[in-house]
Amino acid sequence: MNIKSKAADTSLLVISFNLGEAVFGIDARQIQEVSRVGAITRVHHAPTEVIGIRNLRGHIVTVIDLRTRLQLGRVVTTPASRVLIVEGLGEPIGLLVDRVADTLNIDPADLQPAPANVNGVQSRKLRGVCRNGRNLVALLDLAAVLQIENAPGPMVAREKLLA
Amino acid sequence: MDDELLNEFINESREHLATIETDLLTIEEGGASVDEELVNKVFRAAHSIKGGSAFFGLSKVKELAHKAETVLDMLRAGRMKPNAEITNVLLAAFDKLRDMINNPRTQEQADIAELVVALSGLAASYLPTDQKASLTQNVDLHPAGEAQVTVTLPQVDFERAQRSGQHVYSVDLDLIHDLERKGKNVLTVFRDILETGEILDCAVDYETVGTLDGPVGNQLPLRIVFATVIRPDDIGLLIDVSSEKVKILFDPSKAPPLAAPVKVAKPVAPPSHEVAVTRPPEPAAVALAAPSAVAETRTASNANDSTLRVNVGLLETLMNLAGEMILSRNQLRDAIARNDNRALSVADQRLNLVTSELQDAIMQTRLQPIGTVFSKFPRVVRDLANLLHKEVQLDLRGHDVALDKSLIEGLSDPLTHMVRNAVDHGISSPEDRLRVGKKRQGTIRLEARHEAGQVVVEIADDGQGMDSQRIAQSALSKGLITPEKLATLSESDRLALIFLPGLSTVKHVTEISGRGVGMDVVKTNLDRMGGKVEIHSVIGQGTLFRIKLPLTLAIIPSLIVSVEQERFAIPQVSVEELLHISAKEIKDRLTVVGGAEVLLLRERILPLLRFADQLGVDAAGSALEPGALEIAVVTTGSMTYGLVVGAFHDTEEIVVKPLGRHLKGLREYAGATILGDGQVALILDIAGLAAKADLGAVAAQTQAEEDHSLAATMSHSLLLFHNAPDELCATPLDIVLRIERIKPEQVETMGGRRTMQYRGAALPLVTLADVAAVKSIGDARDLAVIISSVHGREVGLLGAMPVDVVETQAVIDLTTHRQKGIAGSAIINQRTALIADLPELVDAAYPEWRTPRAELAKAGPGAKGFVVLLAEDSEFFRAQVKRYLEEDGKVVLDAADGESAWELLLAHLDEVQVVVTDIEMPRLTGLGLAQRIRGDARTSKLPMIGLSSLAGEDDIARGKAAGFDDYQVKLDRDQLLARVRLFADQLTMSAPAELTNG
Repeated sequence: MNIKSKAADTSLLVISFNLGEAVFGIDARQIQEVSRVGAITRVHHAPTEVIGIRNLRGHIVTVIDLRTRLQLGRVVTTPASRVLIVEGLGEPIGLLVDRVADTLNIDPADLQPAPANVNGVQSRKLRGVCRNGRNLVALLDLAAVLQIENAPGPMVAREKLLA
Repeated sequence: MDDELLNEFINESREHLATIETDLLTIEEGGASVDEELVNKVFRAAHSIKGGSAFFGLSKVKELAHKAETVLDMLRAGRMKPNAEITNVLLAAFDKLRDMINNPRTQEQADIAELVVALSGLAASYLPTDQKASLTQNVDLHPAGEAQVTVTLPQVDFERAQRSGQHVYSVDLDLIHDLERKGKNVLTVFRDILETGEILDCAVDYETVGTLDGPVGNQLPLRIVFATVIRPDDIGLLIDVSSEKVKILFDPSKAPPLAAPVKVAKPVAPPSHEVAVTRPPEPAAVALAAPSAVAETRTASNANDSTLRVNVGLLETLMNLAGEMILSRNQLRDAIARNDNRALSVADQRLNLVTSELQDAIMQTRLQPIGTVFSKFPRVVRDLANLLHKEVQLDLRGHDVALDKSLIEGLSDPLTHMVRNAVDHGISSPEDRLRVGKKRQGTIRLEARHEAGQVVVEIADDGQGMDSQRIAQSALSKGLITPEKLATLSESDRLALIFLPGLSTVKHVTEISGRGVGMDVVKTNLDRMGGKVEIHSVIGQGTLFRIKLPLTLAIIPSLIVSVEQERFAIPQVSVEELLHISAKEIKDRLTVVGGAEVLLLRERILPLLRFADQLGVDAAGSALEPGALEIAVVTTGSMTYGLVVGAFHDTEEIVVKPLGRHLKGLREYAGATILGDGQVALILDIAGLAAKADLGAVAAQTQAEEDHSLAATMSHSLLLFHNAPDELCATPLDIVLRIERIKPEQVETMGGRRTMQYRGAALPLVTLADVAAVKSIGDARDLAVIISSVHGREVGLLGAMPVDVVETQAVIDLTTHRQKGIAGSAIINQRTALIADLPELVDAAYPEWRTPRAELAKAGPGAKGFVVLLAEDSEFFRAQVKRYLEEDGKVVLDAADGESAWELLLAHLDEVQVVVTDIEMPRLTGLGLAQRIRGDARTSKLPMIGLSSLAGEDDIARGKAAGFDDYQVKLDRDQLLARVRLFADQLTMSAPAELTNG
């Protein structure tokens, strides 16, 4: 189902997945593995996008609801749900998605900027979009996705310190 | 070259270098009285590095080590005396060596010229002119009878061997046949030689390797030139090679003493950077460069610290355990194969045992003494103090405290930063110190110790202290904090502002450190390890940083609890006890104080935290029994509270894993762990949880009676209760032992007296209405019994619920409502509360309790007209105690603080016969007063009784040290009176006795 069978050295292997109706993709090199949801331990008082933590062969993985992250509602866990294990700033992070769709080869040259009607939060986290047959696949910028947005800014940190 | 061998050499060298700083500093301290043993040790370190580096072709290392060795030899021989200049150069040289050894591949590029010049200069400056040449000259030696073979050695080295009467040999070893095939390596040979002598040179003869057409291929010849005391006949014992391979270059028995047996070779062309050997040494430049160099070197060495040396005994244990483990596994397999349940459980047990032993042993390999970090500080402090012209003494304690390796590594940087800060900003210059009446020399104390499952590291200096006002102003002016927020901050919170990024109170920021610059990094580093840091500082007296590292190891025993279906781990060190409170006990054990739920546990009142509420979970209470509660009594060290959970499970040894960065901000969790079934459980942070629930305020209230240092100021802790519904009453919390909730049916009235059954005995009960003209309790359904002790017997004061504890600074009015049984009144929350005088109530209700002895003593000889000086800052207590004493026939002079008490004492020198004083008072404390009284000849014999709301062991010890004859708990009237009488009697008895004797 390759979009274009170009030379392998320039093409990008992408794993595509569903978040609700929309199809997104992440550079396959950034994905360590795709795993079933498994037993997730809830962490009370955690940011809403954090579903919980789980054991991945002895490592503690923070699992994030990618839909919440991208302001697309919440993932409802079904047998098709998967957790994409990626590495963010030196620690494993799990991204919960509705369903893993396919692996695609994309020519980076075919990437186009996100359409103007994509909302702000999403567009900042996209590397671009490309066509896959009749569908559009939005390629996520993983670094931007994993960036902690509500990271305690200087003022927040200070408040915490003094609290 | 063989990488493994090189690594071994690097590790060995690092080990040699590890203690060198301390050794050099000790040598310098010793001055002229040289500790030969120690100098020898350092010399050997330099020497063995030189030997190894020659073999590995690390030419720069070899050259520098050789120069250092020469200087050290002169120290050893007493040809130069240790001083700061020599130490500076040597320290810098060893720093450089460490640096080069840590990066052997780049040592060729290292710039050692300056150091080589400095070292050579040092050596030259201490040699007589005619011998200076020996530093640069070489000698040629020839093996006996083989004039065509020439071995060239530096003259200094050869002379050294000559002087100590050593033989010089050269040996040709074949690395392959003589060493490798015999299971040895070069380093072991070196070590053997170093036992009895020195290695002068060594080189691999690569030319021979290259000749493929030679008679014997497959050879790797190594020539070692060494000096040793071992004679030629016995040399075979030292080196296991055929005798023809060992050549004698110099034999002291055959040579005339010190007459050069060889011709002096012409001076070698000095390397370019060594041109100016005779120019005067320039140690100053090196010394100045040294402090900044230290940090870089350290970072480099830390990064390379990926290997760990382990005690061989421990390794043996590990090997044995590994063997055991395999055995157990085999048993287990066998049992599974045979489906034999009994065998299974035996194997399981065995495996369990082995695993825990294995775990212990492995953890031990990770434990390192904190001394490995501490050892660098003498150097850091010395260098910095020299640079800043300060005098600083470093007091290191607790070297042996063992910590996990990762913690040791993590501590290194923050500690260095804080110690540097202490030298740079804490300690002032000697002149400034003298001006404010301190010793010239400042002291920095660095101490590690274990405390309640934590490791505490303290950095204390006796410097100028930190000005919280200035810090606050600085934070304000930089916009790091709002004025509103600032107003709510306590003293210690203001000090903690230095941990904010970008705050510095020092106008002139030195390159060494700026207090405030980098403190945020210190905090971040400590946070990462789960450490806490506290600051205590008094302007003009010094600063104390206390670091607490909560989890010493990555594996901790923990209690697993659950709320609903979720499991959590609580570190066992935090758990004091576990309580199960059945449904019908709840109303007796739980009560509400100031709007917060508290748990009554024996004498204590503990704040209660319902974990399910905290989590926002709808909890059904105990999982075992409907309506009951499961409570873990947990402590953070400074605060204890009850944590209500759903159920208790096992205690498990858990492996602590950090939480991801999305969850770092959650203070209630200390990490996560993987339980036996593979599921993840969160580890609770008991302190963080309490902070989150804002338990601090409740705890401060309920623990007021435990926290005597706080209660000691002008405020009173009062227990509020009701008499009639509209009559609010109070009693000092200090006298309350326990509070019990009862129903009216439990009160028994017999013979006109009320009692209740309590702990298998009848507890006498009194009410205010028994004695005072107040309303009776009436038909209140919920009664509170305030249990106290009067005349050594327990008695209950009956009141109505609710009870509450307040910390008040309200003035206690001792006249308006004064009557028998009522000590006075106070306005609390806009209501008047009558303050019950329990001892008076009891005296009226049970007159027979007064001991006959007390009555007798009252009429005794010393009783009347006896003058007591009473110092007490709380007006309420002062009035109370004064009244007791006056009722007992004493004359009381009272003062509101130590200073006025002292004035009063001086004014009534001849009258005052005993001093009774509170401890915590403004202006001059009780301890200060006691010391002043003891120190003055006029009053030194005066009996003194200390009064405190709570007398702990420590308080008593401190009191005794200050000179108190006795220590009494405040408001224990009978004890106090008995003591005062005792002193009165002694005085009146001893006075006539002396007269008759004299």
